[in-house]
Amino acid sequence: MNNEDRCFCELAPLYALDLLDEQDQTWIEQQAAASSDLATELADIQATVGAISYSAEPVPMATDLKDRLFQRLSQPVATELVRDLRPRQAESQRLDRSSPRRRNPKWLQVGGAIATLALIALFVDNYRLRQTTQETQSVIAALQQPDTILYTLRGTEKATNASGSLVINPTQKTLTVLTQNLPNLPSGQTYRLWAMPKGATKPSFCGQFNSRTNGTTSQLSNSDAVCNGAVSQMLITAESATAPLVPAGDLVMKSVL
Amino acid sequence: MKIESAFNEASLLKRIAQQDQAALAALYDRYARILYAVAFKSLGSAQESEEVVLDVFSQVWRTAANYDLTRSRIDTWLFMIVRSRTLDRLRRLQRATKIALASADAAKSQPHQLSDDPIEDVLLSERRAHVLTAIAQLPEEQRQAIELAYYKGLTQLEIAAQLGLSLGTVKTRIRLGLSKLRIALGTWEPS
Repeated sequence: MNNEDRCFCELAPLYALDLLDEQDQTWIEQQAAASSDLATELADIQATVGAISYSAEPVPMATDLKDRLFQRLSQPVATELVRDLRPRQAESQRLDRSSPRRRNPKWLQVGGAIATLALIALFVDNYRLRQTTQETQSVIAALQQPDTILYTLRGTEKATNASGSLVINPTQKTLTVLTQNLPNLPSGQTYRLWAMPKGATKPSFCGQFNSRTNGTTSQLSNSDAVCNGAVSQMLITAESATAPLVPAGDLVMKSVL
Repeated sequence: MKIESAFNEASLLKRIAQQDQAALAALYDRYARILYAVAFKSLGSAQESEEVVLDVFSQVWRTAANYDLTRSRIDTWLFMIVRSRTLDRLRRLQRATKIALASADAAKSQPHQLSDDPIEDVLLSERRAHVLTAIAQLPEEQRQAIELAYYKGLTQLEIAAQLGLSLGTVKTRIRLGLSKLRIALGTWEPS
Protein backbone atom coordinates (compact mmCIF):
# COMPACT_ATOMS: atom_id res chain seq x y z
CA MET A 1 0.00 0.00 0.00
CA ASN A 2 1.39 3.42 -0.93
CA ASN A 3 1.68 6.15 1.68
CA GLU A 4 -0.86 8.21 -0.27
CA ASP A 5 -3.42 5.41 0.08
CA ARG A 6 -3.01 5.18 3.84
CA CYS A 7 -5.18 6.97 6.33
CA PHE A 8 -4.13 7.12 9.97
CA CYS A 9 -7.72 7.27 11.18
CA GLU A 10 -8.55 4.06 9.34
CA LEU A 11 -5.47 2.08 10.25
CA ALA A 12 -5.04 3.18 13.89
CA PRO A 13 -8.01 1.12 15.22
CA LEU A 14 -6.67 -1.93 13.39
CA TYR A 15 -3.21 -1.22 14.81
CA ALA A 16 -4.62 -1.10 18.35
CA LEU A 17 -6.13 -4.55 17.81
CA ASP A 18 -2.86 -5.86 16.37
CA LEU A 19 -4.48 -6.57 13.01
CA LEU A 20 -2.02 -4.83 10.69
CA ASP A 21 0.89 -6.32 8.79
CA GLU A 22 4.39 -5.25 9.72
CA GLN A 23 4.59 -2.57 7.04
CA ASP A 24 1.41 -0.80 8.14
CA GLN A 25 2.35 -1.17 11.81
CA THR A 26 5.64 0.58 11.14
CA TRP A 27 3.87 3.32 9.22
CA ILE A 28 1.46 3.98 12.11
CA GLU A 29 4.34 4.08 14.60
CA GLN A 30 6.23 6.53 12.40
CA GLN A 31 3.19 8.79 12.11
CA ALA A 32 2.63 8.74 15.86
CA ALA A 33 6.29 9.46 16.49
CA ALA A 34 6.19 12.44 14.15
CA SER A 35 3.03 14.05 15.52
CA SER A 36 2.02 14.48 19.15
CA ASP A 37 -1.63 14.84 18.07
CA LEU A 38 -1.54 11.49 16.31
CA ALA A 39 0.31 9.95 19.26
CA THR A 40 -2.49 11.15 21.56
CA GLU A 41 -5.09 9.85 19.12
CA LEU A 42 -3.41 6.46 19.06
CA ALA A 43 -3.11 6.35 22.86
CA ASP A 44 -6.86 7.08 23.13
CA ILE A 45 -7.71 4.26 20.75
CA GLN A 46 -5.38 1.91 22.60
CA ALA A 47 -7.01 2.90 25.89
CA THR A 48 -10.42 2.15 24.36
CA VAL A 49 -9.23 -1.28 23.22
CA GLY A 50 -7.66 -1.87 26.64
CA ALA A 51 -10.92 -0.98 28.36
CA ILE A 52 -12.56 -3.98 26.66
CA SER A 53 -10.64 -6.05 29.21
CA TYR A 54 -12.89 -4.77 31.98
CA SER A 55 -15.81 -6.58 30.32
CA ALA A 56 -14.25 -9.99 31.02
CA GLU A 57 -16.27 -11.81 33.60
CA PRO A 58 -14.42 -12.33 36.91
CA VAL A 59 -13.43 -15.94 37.52
CA PRO A 60 -12.05 -17.62 40.64
CA MET A 61 -8.31 -17.32 40.89
CA ALA A 62 -5.74 -19.31 42.89
CA THR A 63 -5.02 -17.61 46.19
CA ASP A 64 -1.35 -18.57 46.17
CA LEU A 65 -0.62 -16.96 42.80
CA LYS A 66 0.96 -13.88 44.36
CA ASP A 67 3.32 -16.06 46.40
CA ARG A 68 4.23 -17.93 43.22
CA LEU A 69 4.93 -14.62 41.50
CA PHE A 70 7.44 -13.55 44.13
CA GLN A 71 8.94 -17.03 44.14
CA ARG A 72 9.44 -16.72 40.39
CA LEU A 73 11.02 -13.29 40.76
CA SER A 74 13.57 -14.72 43.16
CA GLN A 75 14.56 -17.46 40.68
CA PRO A 76 17.94 -17.31 38.93
CA VAL A 77 18.14 -15.36 35.72
CA ALA A 78 18.55 -18.43 33.47
CA THR A 79 14.95 -19.52 33.93
CA GLU A 80 13.75 -16.02 33.18
CA LEU A 81 15.82 -15.85 30.03
CA VAL A 82 14.44 -19.11 28.69
CA ARG A 83 10.92 -18.02 29.57
CA ASP A 84 11.46 -14.69 27.84
CA LEU A 85 12.58 -16.36 24.67
CA ARG A 86 9.34 -18.31 24.26
CA PRO A 87 7.01 -15.35 23.64
CA ARG A 88 9.50 -13.87 21.21
CA GLN A 89 9.58 -17.14 19.29
CA ALA A 90 5.79 -17.22 19.31
CA GLU A 91 5.69 -13.61 18.19
CA SER A 92 8.03 -14.28 15.28
CA GLN A 93 5.90 -17.26 14.30
CA ARG A 94 2.84 -15.04 14.46
CA LEU A 95 4.45 -12.49 12.17
CA ASP A 96 5.43 -15.27 9.82
CA ARG A 97 1.80 -16.24 9.39
CA SER A 98 1.25 -13.48 6.91
CA SER A 99 4.01 -14.72 4.62
CA PRO A 100 4.00 -17.95 2.61
CA ARG A 101 4.74 -20.94 4.81
CA ARG A 102 8.26 -22.30 4.57
CA ARG A 103 9.08 -25.77 5.82
CA ASN A 104 12.57 -26.11 7.26
CA PRO A 105 14.19 -29.54 7.16
CA LYS A 106 14.18 -31.40 10.51
CA TRP A 107 17.97 -31.33 10.82
CA LEU A 108 17.91 -27.57 10.44
CA GLN A 109 15.34 -27.23 13.23
CA VAL A 110 17.35 -29.51 15.54
CA GLY A 111 20.54 -27.65 14.71
CA GLY A 112 18.80 -24.37 15.34
CA ALA A 113 17.54 -25.56 18.71
CA ILE A 114 21.04 -26.70 19.74
CA ALA A 115 22.51 -23.41 18.62
CA THR A 116 19.83 -21.51 20.55
CA LEU A 117 20.55 -23.47 23.73
CA ALA A 118 24.27 -22.90 23.31
CA LEU A 119 23.63 -19.20 22.86
CA ILE A 120 21.45 -19.10 25.96
CA ALA A 121 24.15 -20.86 28.00
CA LEU A 122 26.76 -18.44 26.69
CA PHE A 123 24.52 -15.47 27.39
CA VAL A 124 23.80 -16.65 30.94
CA ASP A 125 27.51 -17.19 31.62
CA ASN A 126 28.32 -13.76 30.26
CA TYR A 127 25.49 -12.21 32.21
CA ARG A 128 26.67 -13.76 35.49
CA LEU A 129 30.26 -12.80 34.83
CA ARG A 130 29.24 -9.26 33.93
CA GLN A 131 27.04 -9.03 37.01
CA THR A 132 29.81 -10.28 39.32
CA THR A 133 32.31 -7.91 37.74
CA GLN A 134 29.94 -4.98 38.08
CA GLU A 135 29.27 -5.82 41.73
CA THR A 136 32.98 -6.05 42.47
CA GLN A 137 33.71 -2.82 40.62
CA SER A 138 30.96 -0.97 42.45
CA VAL A 139 32.31 -2.10 45.83
CA ILE A 140 35.86 -1.09 44.88
CA ALA A 141 34.64 2.25 43.55
CA ALA A 142 32.67 2.87 46.72
CA LEU A 143 35.66 2.02 48.93
CA GLN A 144 37.82 4.48 47.00
CA GLN A 145 35.52 7.39 47.86
CA PRO A 146 36.76 9.55 50.74
CA ASP A 147 33.34 9.82 52.36
CA THR A 148 32.47 6.11 52.17
CA ILE A 149 30.95 4.67 55.32
CA LEU A 150 31.71 1.07 56.17
CA TYR A 151 29.78 -1.07 58.64
CA THR A 152 30.59 -4.58 59.77
CA LEU A 153 27.49 -6.74 60.01
CA ARG A 154 27.10 -9.63 62.42
CA GLY A 155 24.36 -12.25 62.66
CA THR A 156 22.01 -12.32 65.64
CA GLU A 157 20.80 -15.47 67.38
CA LYS A 158 18.41 -15.91 64.42
CA ALA A 159 21.36 -16.25 62.03
CA THR A 160 24.39 -17.02 64.15
CA ASN A 161 26.68 -17.94 61.25
CA ALA A 162 25.88 -14.88 59.18
CA SER A 163 28.47 -12.20 58.62
CA GLY A 164 28.94 -9.34 56.21
CA SER A 165 29.63 -5.71 55.48
CA LEU A 166 27.68 -2.69 54.42
CA VAL A 167 29.33 -0.09 52.19
CA ILE A 168 27.54 3.25 51.89
CA ASN A 169 28.46 5.71 49.19
CA PRO A 170 26.78 8.98 50.27
CA THR A 171 27.71 10.72 47.00
CA GLN A 172 25.96 8.20 44.78
CA LYS A 173 23.39 7.37 47.47
CA THR A 174 24.05 3.66 47.12
CA LEU A 175 24.25 0.99 49.77
CA THR A 176 26.05 -2.25 49.00
CA VAL A 177 25.28 -5.16 51.31
CA LEU A 178 27.71 -8.10 51.29
CA THR A 179 26.55 -11.12 53.27
CA GLN A 180 27.71 -14.66 53.92
CA ASN A 181 25.71 -17.53 55.44
CA LEU A 182 22.49 -15.56 55.60
CA PRO A 183 19.79 -18.25 55.19
CA ASN A 184 17.75 -18.48 51.99
CA LEU A 185 14.28 -17.19 52.73
CA PRO A 186 11.07 -18.94 51.68
CA SER A 187 9.11 -17.45 48.78
CA GLY A 188 7.35 -14.20 49.58
CA GLN A 189 9.97 -13.27 52.20
CA THR A 190 12.77 -10.76 51.84
CA TYR A 191 15.51 -9.17 53.86
CA ARG A 192 15.08 -5.49 54.69
CA LEU A 193 17.77 -3.04 55.66
CA TRP A 194 16.99 -0.34 58.23
CA ALA A 195 18.90 2.64 59.59
CA MET A 196 18.48 3.55 63.25
CA PRO A 197 19.78 7.07 63.89
CA LYS A 198 20.87 8.02 67.36
CA GLY A 199 17.90 9.12 69.45
CA ALA A 200 15.33 7.87 66.93
CA THR A 201 12.49 5.69 68.14
CA LYS A 202 11.76 4.04 64.80
CA PRO A 203 14.18 2.71 62.18
CA SER A 204 14.04 4.04 58.61
CA PHE A 205 13.63 1.66 55.68
CA CYS A 206 16.65 1.68 53.36
CA GLY A 207 15.93 -1.16 50.93
CA GLN A 208 15.36 -4.86 50.59
CA PHE A 209 17.19 -7.78 49.04
CA ASN A 210 17.29 -11.55 48.76
CA SER A 211 20.20 -13.62 49.87
CA ARG A 212 21.98 -16.83 49.00
CA THR A 213 23.81 -18.68 51.76
CA ASN A 214 26.95 -18.97 49.62
CA GLY A 215 27.32 -15.22 49.56
CA THR A 216 25.43 -12.30 48.19
CA THR A 217 26.23 -8.79 47.07
CA SER A 218 23.18 -6.56 46.84
CA GLN A 219 23.26 -2.98 45.71
CA LEU A 220 20.47 -0.78 46.98
CA SER A 221 19.65 2.79 46.11
CA ASN A 222 18.01 5.16 48.52
CA SER A 223 18.03 8.96 48.52
CA ASP A 224 16.92 9.20 52.15
CA ALA A 225 19.66 11.06 54.04
CA VAL A 226 19.20 8.78 57.03
CA CYS A 227 20.23 5.79 54.93
CA ASN A 228 23.26 7.53 53.44
CA GLY A 229 24.82 8.98 56.56
CA ALA A 230 26.56 7.63 59.61
CA VAL A 231 23.93 6.39 62.04
CA SER A 232 24.17 4.59 65.32
CA GLN A 233 23.12 1.23 63.94
CA MET A 234 22.09 -0.55 60.75
CA LEU A 235 19.70 -3.46 61.08
CA ILE A 236 18.57 -6.29 58.78
CA THR A 237 15.29 -8.09 59.36
CA ALA A 238 13.49 -10.92 57.56
CA GLU A 239 10.06 -9.75 56.45
CA SER A 240 7.18 -10.60 54.19
CA ALA A 241 7.97 -9.00 50.81
CA THR A 242 4.54 -7.43 50.70
CA ALA A 243 4.38 -6.18 54.29
CA PRO A 244 4.20 -2.45 55.05
CA LEU A 245 7.55 -0.75 55.52
CA VAL A 246 7.60 -1.18 59.27
CA PRO A 247 9.95 -3.73 60.84
CA ALA A 248 7.91 -6.65 62.16
CA GLY A 249 10.01 -9.73 61.38
CA ASP A 250 13.06 -11.34 62.98
CA LEU A 251 16.21 -9.27 63.43
CA VAL A 252 18.88 -11.35 61.65
CA MET A 253 21.87 -9.00 61.41
CA LYS A 254 23.03 -5.74 62.90
CA SER A 255 26.02 -3.50 62.56
CA VAL A 256 28.75 -3.61 65.17
CA LEU A 257 30.89 -0.71 66.22
CA MET B 1 -9.99 10.94 43.06
CA LYS B 2 -9.11 10.14 39.47
CA ILE B 3 -5.99 12.28 39.54
CA GLU B 4 -5.00 10.80 42.85
CA SER B 5 -5.48 7.29 41.51
CA ALA B 6 -3.39 7.94 38.42
CA PHE B 7 -0.72 9.54 40.56
CA ASN B 8 -0.69 6.60 42.93
CA GLU B 9 -0.25 4.16 40.09
CA ALA B 10 2.54 6.24 38.60
CA SER B 11 4.17 6.33 42.00
CA LEU B 12 3.75 2.56 42.33
CA LEU B 13 5.45 2.03 39.00
CA LYS B 14 8.37 4.24 39.97
CA ARG B 15 8.81 2.20 43.12
CA ILE B 16 8.59 -1.03 41.14
CA ALA B 17 11.32 0.31 38.88
CA GLN B 18 13.42 0.55 42.05
CA GLN B 19 12.62 -3.12 42.74
CA ASP B 20 10.20 -2.42 45.58
CA GLN B 21 8.29 -5.68 46.02
CA ALA B 22 5.62 -4.05 48.20
CA ALA B 23 4.75 -1.76 45.29
CA LEU B 24 4.53 -4.71 42.90
CA ALA B 25 2.27 -6.46 45.40
CA ALA B 26 -0.01 -3.40 45.47
CA LEU B 27 -0.23 -3.29 41.68
CA TYR B 28 -0.89 -7.03 41.67
CA ASP B 29 -3.74 -6.62 44.16
CA ARG B 30 -5.33 -4.01 41.94
CA TYR B 31 -5.04 -5.69 38.55
CA ALA B 32 -4.31 -9.41 38.89
CA ARG B 33 -7.96 -10.48 38.94
CA ILE B 34 -8.97 -8.58 35.82
CA LEU B 35 -5.83 -9.66 33.97
CA TYR B 36 -6.57 -13.24 34.95
CA ALA B 37 -10.18 -12.86 33.77
CA VAL B 38 -9.00 -11.57 30.38
CA ALA B 39 -6.56 -14.46 29.98
CA PHE B 40 -9.16 -16.98 31.08
CA LYS B 41 -11.75 -15.68 28.66
CA SER B 42 -9.33 -16.36 25.80
CA LEU B 43 -7.61 -19.50 27.05
CA GLY B 44 -10.30 -21.20 29.12
CA SER B 45 -7.59 -22.80 31.23
CA ALA B 46 -6.76 -21.87 34.83
CA GLN B 47 -3.20 -23.15 34.54
CA GLU B 48 -2.44 -21.25 31.35
CA SER B 49 -4.13 -18.09 32.65
CA GLU B 50 -2.09 -18.22 35.84
CA GLU B 51 1.07 -18.46 33.77
CA VAL B 52 -0.02 -15.40 31.80
CA VAL B 53 -0.56 -13.39 34.98
CA LEU B 54 2.85 -14.48 36.28
CA ASP B 55 4.42 -13.52 32.94
CA VAL B 56 2.76 -10.09 32.96
CA PHE B 57 3.90 -9.12 36.44
CA SER B 58 7.36 -10.59 35.86
CA GLN B 59 7.63 -8.38 32.79
CA VAL B 60 6.40 -5.36 34.76
CA TRP B 61 9.02 -6.11 37.41
CA ARG B 62 11.79 -6.21 34.82
CA THR B 63 10.71 -3.37 32.55
CA ALA B 64 8.96 -0.83 34.81
CA ALA B 65 11.99 1.44 34.54
CA ASN B 66 11.47 1.67 30.77
CA TYR B 67 7.76 2.46 30.96
CA ASP B 68 6.91 5.93 29.67
CA LEU B 69 4.14 7.37 31.83
CA THR B 70 3.33 9.98 29.20
CA ARG B 71 2.67 7.46 26.42
CA SER B 72 -0.18 5.42 27.81
CA ARG B 73 -2.16 4.75 30.95
CA ILE B 74 -0.87 2.05 33.21
CA ASP B 75 -3.95 -0.13 32.87
CA THR B 76 -3.71 0.17 29.07
CA TRP B 77 -0.08 -0.93 29.26
CA LEU B 78 -0.98 -3.92 31.43
CA PHE B 79 -3.84 -4.91 29.11
CA MET B 80 -1.53 -4.73 26.09
CA ILE B 81 0.94 -7.05 27.80
CA VAL B 82 -1.71 -9.48 28.98
CA ARG B 83 -3.30 -9.65 25.55
CA SER B 84 0.04 -10.21 23.85
CA ARG B 85 1.03 -12.96 26.29
CA THR B 86 -2.43 -14.53 26.14
CA LEU B 87 -2.52 -14.66 22.35
CA ASP B 88 1.01 -16.08 22.24
CA ARG B 89 -0.13 -18.91 24.48
CA LEU B 90 -3.40 -19.38 22.65
CA ARG B 91 -1.64 -19.77 19.30
CA ARG B 92 0.98 -22.08 20.75
CA LEU B 93 -1.70 -24.25 22.33
CA GLN B 94 -3.72 -24.37 19.15
CA ARG B 95 -0.68 -25.39 17.15
CA ALA B 96 0.56 -27.94 19.67
CA THR B 97 -2.56 -29.71 20.77
CA LYS B 98 -5.10 -29.06 18.06
CA ILE B 99 -7.76 -29.60 20.66
CA ALA B 100 -10.65 -27.38 21.44
CA LEU B 101 -10.01 -25.36 24.53
CA ALA B 102 -12.50 -25.53 27.33
CA SER B 103 -15.13 -22.92 26.96
CA ALA B 104 -14.93 -19.89 29.19
CA ASP B 105 -18.63 -20.42 29.69
CA ALA B 106 -17.76 -23.27 32.03
CA ALA B 107 -16.43 -20.76 34.49
CA LYS B 108 -19.64 -18.79 34.54
CA SER B 109 -21.34 -21.42 36.63
CA GLN B 110 -18.66 -21.25 39.28
CA PRO B 111 -19.10 -18.91 42.23
CA HIS B 112 -17.02 -15.74 42.03
CA GLN B 113 -14.35 -15.50 44.60
CA LEU B 114 -14.21 -12.13 46.28
CA SER B 115 -10.81 -10.69 46.90
CA ASP B 116 -9.52 -9.68 50.29
CA ASP B 117 -10.10 -6.04 49.44
CA PRO B 118 -13.78 -5.05 49.20
CA ILE B 119 -12.89 -1.55 47.93
CA GLU B 120 -10.99 -3.01 44.97
CA ASP B 121 -13.96 -5.33 44.36
CA VAL B 122 -16.35 -2.40 44.20
CA LEU B 123 -14.05 -0.36 41.94
CA LEU B 124 -13.60 -3.29 39.59
CA SER B 125 -17.35 -3.90 39.47
CA GLU B 126 -17.94 -0.24 38.64
CA ARG B 127 -15.41 -0.29 35.81
CA ARG B 128 -16.89 -3.51 34.48
CA ALA B 129 -20.42 -2.14 34.59
CA HIS B 130 -19.35 1.03 32.80
CA VAL B 131 -17.55 -0.84 30.01
CA LEU B 132 -20.35 -3.39 29.62
CA THR B 133 -22.85 -0.54 29.23
CA ALA B 134 -20.66 1.02 26.55
CA ILE B 135 -20.20 -2.29 24.72
CA ALA B 136 -23.94 -2.93 24.87
CA GLN B 137 -24.46 0.20 22.77
CA LEU B 138 -22.58 -1.36 19.86
CA PRO B 139 -24.47 -3.16 17.11
CA GLU B 140 -24.04 -6.90 17.59
CA GLU B 141 -22.06 -7.39 14.37
CA GLN B 142 -19.50 -4.74 15.37
CA ARG B 143 -19.13 -6.12 18.89
CA GLN B 144 -18.67 -9.61 17.50
CA ALA B 145 -15.90 -8.61 15.10
CA ILE B 146 -14.04 -6.66 17.79
CA GLU B 147 -14.28 -9.46 20.36
CA LEU B 148 -13.05 -12.08 17.89
CA ALA B 149 -9.99 -9.94 17.30
CA TYR B 150 -9.47 -8.98 20.92
CA TYR B 151 -10.09 -12.20 22.80
CA LYS B 152 -9.42 -14.83 20.15
CA GLY B 153 -6.62 -13.06 18.34
CA LEU B 154 -8.10 -13.79 14.92
CA THR B 155 -6.71 -11.96 11.91
CA GLN B 156 -8.97 -9.87 9.70
CA LEU B 157 -9.07 -12.69 7.15
CA GLU B 158 -9.96 -15.25 9.82
CA ILE B 159 -12.74 -13.02 11.15
CA ALA B 160 -14.05 -12.54 7.61
CA ALA B 161 -14.05 -16.31 7.05
CA GLN B 162 -15.70 -17.07 10.40
CA LEU B 163 -18.44 -14.49 9.91
CA GLY B 164 -18.83 -15.05 6.18
CA LEU B 165 -18.05 -11.43 5.36
CA SER B 166 -15.74 -9.60 2.99
CA LEU B 167 -12.45 -8.26 4.33
CA GLY B 168 -13.59 -4.71 3.73
CA THR B 169 -16.75 -5.24 5.77
CA VAL B 170 -14.73 -6.63 8.68
CA LYS B 171 -12.43 -3.61 8.64
CA THR B 172 -15.37 -1.24 8.56
CA ARG B 173 -17.18 -2.98 11.40
CA ILE B 174 -14.10 -2.95 13.60
CA ARG B 175 -13.37 0.70 12.84
CA LEU B 176 -16.93 1.87 13.42
CA GLY B 177 -17.29 -0.28 16.52
CA LEU B 178 -14.15 1.06 18.15
CA SER B 179 -15.10 4.61 17.26
CA LYS B 180 -18.52 4.19 18.93
CA LEU B 181 -16.97 2.49 21.92
CA ARG B 182 -14.54 5.35 22.33
CA ILE B 183 -17.41 7.84 22.31
CA ALA B 184 -19.49 5.73 24.69
CA LEU B 185 -16.61 5.46 27.13
CA GLY B 186 -16.11 9.21 26.74
CA THR B 187 -13.55 10.74 29.03
CA TRP B 188 -13.95 7.88 31.43
CA GLU B 189 -10.97 7.07 33.54
CA PRO B 190 -10.80 4.17 35.94
CA SER B 191 -11.27 5.53 39.44
